Amino acid sequence: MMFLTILKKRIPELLCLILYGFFLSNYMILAEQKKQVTSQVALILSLKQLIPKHETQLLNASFSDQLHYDKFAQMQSQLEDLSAKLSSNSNAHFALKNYKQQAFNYIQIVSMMKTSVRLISSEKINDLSPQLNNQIEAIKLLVFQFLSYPTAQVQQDIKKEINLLTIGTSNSPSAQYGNLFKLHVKFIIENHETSAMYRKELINSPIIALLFNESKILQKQLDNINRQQLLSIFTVIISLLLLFINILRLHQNELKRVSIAHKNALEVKSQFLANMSHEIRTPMTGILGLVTLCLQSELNEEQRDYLEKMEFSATSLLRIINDILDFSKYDSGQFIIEKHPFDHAKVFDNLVTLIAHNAEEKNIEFIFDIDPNIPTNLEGDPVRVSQILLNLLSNSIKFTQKGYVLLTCKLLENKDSDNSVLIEYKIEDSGIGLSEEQQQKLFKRFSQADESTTRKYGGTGLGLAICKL
Amino acid sequence: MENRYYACLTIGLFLSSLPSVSIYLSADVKKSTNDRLATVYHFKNVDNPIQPIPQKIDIDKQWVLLGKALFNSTLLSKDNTISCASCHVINTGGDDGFPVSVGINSKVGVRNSPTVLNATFNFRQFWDGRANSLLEQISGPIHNPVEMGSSWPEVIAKLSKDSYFNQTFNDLSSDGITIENILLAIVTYEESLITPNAAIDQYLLGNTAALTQQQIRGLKLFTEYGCTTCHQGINIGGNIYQKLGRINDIPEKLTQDLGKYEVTKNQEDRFVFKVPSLRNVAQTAPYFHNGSVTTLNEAVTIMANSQLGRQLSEAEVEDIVALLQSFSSKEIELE
Repeated sequence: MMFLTILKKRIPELLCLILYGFFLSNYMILAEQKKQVTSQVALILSLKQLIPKHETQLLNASFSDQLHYDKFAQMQSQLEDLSAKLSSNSNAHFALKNYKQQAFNYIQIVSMMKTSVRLISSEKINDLSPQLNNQIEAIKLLVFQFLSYPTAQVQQDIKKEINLLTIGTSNSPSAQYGNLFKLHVKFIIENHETSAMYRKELINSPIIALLFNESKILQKQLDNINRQQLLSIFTVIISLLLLFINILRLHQNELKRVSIAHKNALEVKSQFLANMSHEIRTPMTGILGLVTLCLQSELNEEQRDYLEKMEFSATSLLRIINDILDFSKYDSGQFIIEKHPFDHAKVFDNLVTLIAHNAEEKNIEFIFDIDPNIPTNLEGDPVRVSQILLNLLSNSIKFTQKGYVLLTCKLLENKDSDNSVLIEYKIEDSGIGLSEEQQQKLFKRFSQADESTTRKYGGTGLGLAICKL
Repeated sequence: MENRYYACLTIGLFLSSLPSVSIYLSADVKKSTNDRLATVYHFKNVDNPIQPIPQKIDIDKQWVLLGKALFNSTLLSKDNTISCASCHVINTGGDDGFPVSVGINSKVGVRNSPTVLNATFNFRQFWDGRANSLLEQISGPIHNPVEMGSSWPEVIAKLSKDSYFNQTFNDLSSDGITIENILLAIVTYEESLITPNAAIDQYLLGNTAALTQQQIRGLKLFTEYGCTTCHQGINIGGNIYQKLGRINDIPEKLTQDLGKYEVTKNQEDRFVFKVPSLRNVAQTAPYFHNGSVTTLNEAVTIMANSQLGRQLSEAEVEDIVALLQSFSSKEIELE
């Protein structure tokens, strides 16, 4: 049951594998067929070349200068070899068998005929009776006439004459010759027709035409096989590709799932942080308020000193908490840049009140260089602007032991078209500076230029990360 | 989970490749890996119906030796009593001198065993020419129940147990003992069994003193009377079929066997036999397909009458028989 459900889940893979297996086997089967067909094609080609040569040898067998049949025998052997390899369902198979049989029949008769004709035409006996000699000469003439132009009439005549031939029963040379003559003439007239028939059949044998047809059919088959083979291999490649794509698809799904889980976890974390910061801020404000109230009451030097330090610590802590809150707000997507009218100059007033005394304490020159062209009434989020500047400036002051911190504020663009301004804020200090490597890490959260500075200068490393946002 | 998926996929791929791999393996491109030299004869043509046996032959001697060992090995027969050489005694004309041969369990065959000498020049093998080549012929006697009565698996099993054959086959071919290699070895040996430099060959090649006056008279008769109608070519026969009794009647004792007809069942093939070679004929008595004629004189007389319708005088028969003696040669290549 479980197996079935797994199978159901893996239907695309199964389909791909089935396609792959089926068409690969198909390809192999086709390759096998191709081999066979190709060998048949080659076979038929050699048959097509051999048969005319064989036929020539065969038809030449009747020539008197053909002394022996070794060549014929050799070609016959080749023919047998080839025809044994010819597939038995070939159209030419039967015709070839016929052809071979006729070839054997023909050469048997024609070789004998050749001898018979030679014997009756050339053999001479000296002491023949004149009558027998005349009869024999007459028959010879008829036989030659018959050989060059065979008709049934002449055949009849020869038969009649042969029967009329009077040969003594004695064992004399003339009687022997007469018998020999008679036998061979009979053989010639009886077999001439058969040999002519075999000859005609051999010449008209459909074998070459059949072979030609056969090779055409095989060629077509070969083309077909080639096409199918191409299709098969194409399908095999496609199925493997599909399998691969499927694996990629599964991978992508998996990644998506993981990334969503990841995102959710992060969101929960940010939410938790935001909530926590909020929960911490409320009592912090209480502590700060109470410390402030306490400081206004009568206190001795020691108590005042403790409380002032406590106020400083609490303020620092609150700032850190605010930073974390801002950051987690951003992470959880609750970070909003507001847009309302504000006075640009006021931003600097705030900055002065917030950090001027820090610079003063360290005896550092703290300079503002503000472009007078900047319009005073702007629209935007002054809180964020001052927050960023505050972070950057307090950093500068923090890491500067002596010298100056300079804030340059310059109007870069004043676009009338959409009524916007581009302002460049530039902070410069004579502090310890940053190496190139440190610059790379500058805006990463929780990182500081030098991890060891945490000890010396304090801070969470969140400030600049917030600026970047 | 992921690992299991890939494992399953790999197994799936493997399984689906199995059928095609098995098809590929079953098709198995069988390439014989032995490097036997092909046998080459250096023929010489002369202006005569009879052609001389080549005096020069290139042949792979290793295979010849292996073939000779197989030829003389009784392991090829079912009860280890008969070898090829039992019926084809090389030194006495390549046959056994009996009318018909004796096989395993003393069973007798139906036809006279033909000589293996020069058999390579015959265009077909067996009396009825049913085998196209020596290669095809060899399986015949090995499987014939009245000859060796064995089978290939049996033969291969027996040869594998023999240390000489095992070693030699593996030396000559990476395939070791196979049907193909056994056949090839025997065929190669048979291809080496040619008998050049018979008196007739020397005569044909220009040495007119090689034949006696009587033999020269015999050759003249042999050619003029028409014996060379069929007995011509390199093997003095063995290159066409012919009908026994083409012109005249044949003696009763030769009419039992219908020859090629027994194979083809064609009416034209009644009494048709492969024209036997006359090479070494003086050593291969008795004669004809059933070995029923014991002397050359009788054989020549029968042939002249039934094939050519000619009554030969005693002197003529003697002349021709003298000629037939000149077809013999004791020389066997590589012996």
